[in-house]
Amino acid sequence: MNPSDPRISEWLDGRLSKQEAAEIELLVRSDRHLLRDVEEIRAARILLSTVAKLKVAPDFSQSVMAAIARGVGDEISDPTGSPDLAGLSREDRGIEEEWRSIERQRVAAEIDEAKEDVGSSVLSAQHSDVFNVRSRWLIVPLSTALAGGLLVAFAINAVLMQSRVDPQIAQQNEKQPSQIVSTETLSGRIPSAELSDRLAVALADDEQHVRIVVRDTTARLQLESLIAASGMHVELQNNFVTDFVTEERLSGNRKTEPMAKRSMAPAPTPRAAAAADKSAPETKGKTLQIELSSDRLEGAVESQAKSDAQESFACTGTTDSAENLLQSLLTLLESESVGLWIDRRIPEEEDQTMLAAAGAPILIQDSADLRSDTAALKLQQRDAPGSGVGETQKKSSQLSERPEGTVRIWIDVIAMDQTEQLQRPSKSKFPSPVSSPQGSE
Amino acid sequence: MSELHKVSEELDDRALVAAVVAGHCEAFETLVIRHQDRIYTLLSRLCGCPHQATDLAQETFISAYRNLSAFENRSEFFTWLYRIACNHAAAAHRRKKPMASLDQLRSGSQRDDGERNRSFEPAAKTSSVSAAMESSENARKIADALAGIDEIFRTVVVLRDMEGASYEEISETLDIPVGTVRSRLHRGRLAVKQLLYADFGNGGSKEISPDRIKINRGH
Repeated sequence: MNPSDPRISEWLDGRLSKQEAAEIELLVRSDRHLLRDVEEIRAARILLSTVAKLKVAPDFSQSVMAAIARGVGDEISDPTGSPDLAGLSREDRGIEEEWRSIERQRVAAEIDEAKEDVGSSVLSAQHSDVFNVRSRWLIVPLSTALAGGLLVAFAINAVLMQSRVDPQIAQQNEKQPSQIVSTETLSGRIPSAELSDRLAVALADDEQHVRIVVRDTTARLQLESLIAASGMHVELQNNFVTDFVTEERLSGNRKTEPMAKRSMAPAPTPRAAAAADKSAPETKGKTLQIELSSDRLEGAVESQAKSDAQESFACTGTTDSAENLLQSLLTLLESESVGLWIDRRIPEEEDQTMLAAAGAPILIQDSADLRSDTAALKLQQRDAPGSGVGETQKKSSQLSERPEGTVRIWIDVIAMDQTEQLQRPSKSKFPSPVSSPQGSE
Repeated sequence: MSELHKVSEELDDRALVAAVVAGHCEAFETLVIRHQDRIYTLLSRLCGCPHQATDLAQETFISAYRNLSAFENRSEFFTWLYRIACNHAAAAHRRKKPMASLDQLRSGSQRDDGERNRSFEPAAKTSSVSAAMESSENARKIADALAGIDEIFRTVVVLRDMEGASYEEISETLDIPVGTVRSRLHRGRLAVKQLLYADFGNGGSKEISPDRIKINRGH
């Protein structure tokens, strides 16, 4: 369950029906991190409610009446008639005009926000006061959102039907089972009736781009574990680093060995992740290899050129698994041992400095700006000698067509030195893929 | 106290409003006395400054007096008064300079911590030193947390969790749909929670605004 789901507050305020309350309670108690969030919200509410009421100065009412009397003496309209600007003094006319301007701005802002709320959560309509006249105008956009959700569900079913009969698609599935999510996954996992709501609540777009700056191998391993556990299927890895760290290097010896093997993740099992359990053998000299598998990810990489060290994962999965992944990344915020930081906007420079100073080992950035870079980013698959990837190794720069109803998250992992101050990325500074392998030390 | 004033204390808000509109302006003072503490408390929470809250409270009542003929009794008088107060607080907020970062607020470079905390001091004296200190510390934390969130979330959180207003009352006060109240309240609570329980300088700052937490894209 999403911690930002407003039903949590309604549950705490006792506004949900018994059935809904039981459902929410079950969801909350089954998620350790969510439970802690809820307990903290509950504690914050109690703290706020204990703040005592304040008292105004004893002569306050007299000062108000005196001000009113002064105003009446200056031909300010009195409550016995409607306010008329023409009858007001210049000062009060200005106040009256400002008041009206504020009201207009406020109303316009409320309408914009209400429209945004309608677009972001279909469920809002279900809980709104049906007798509230003001909410009637929301019925049309809400109906449109519901209709859109039904259309998407219908389209997904159509794809399922087509894939069952279309020999080309079936053949493609057989050839590269790792490339697309299985039909079983599609039929079993996507909550068709709630798809639009899920997408609206979890991921507004069907492709997202997340940048993760990793400071050390521990953090990277944790990140890999999260990706593995999320159920997302890793389609493509673009590792522009050719030198892998050896145990000697990790212990202080700077020697590295060239990358010997790299494997992609075939997916024989029809799970949501659709990933295989294939691990590449270690090479001589105890080189740690990068291995991508949604069941098990292991390996570490350290780049010589840290500012250019970048790996790109394209993860595809259902909205559930995408939400799982992002939620997992989010929950790592609470882990002091990891100290992940998630910021969905490019933060201000001083914020990044604060983050760096606080020693956060991972900074996750997600920005709409990165999406345009992603579109231009050419994904290249490098053939490693003896990699043994076989038919699942991609040769082209194009990913497979993403099945309808799934979402894709691009994750760029950048290794940075811990002492390096995190710089605010700009479009022009977005790391470009290294075009040629780098030689070993 | 005049006879009329004594009588007016027994009248409800609607009757007093009718009396004022009919020309008995003294009845308005009864309305002021009846609601001044609640309006002042609300404005103190919203703007964080007792002096400014006093000024805004006065403006609120003056505006209410001027527009009393426009009050159509569709809602409770106090709900209408709350709305005027929230509007004045919002207008004052927009007229102010951009809010300082939380670091600046904590260092006191832009606001007077003592003055701000007085908005959150308990009205009654505490019985022990430790309780007083804890109360003062809580007040500081709450003041910091509320000052650190966006004004539209702060208003809803204050109305709900500090003033005890229902969702429907908040909806009526702020003239927003109940769905918007739900959304803003939860987002505000998340933000307040984050700020109240943030641990700066402990291996990873956790300060995150609701926009940053939200997975939903739509910055």
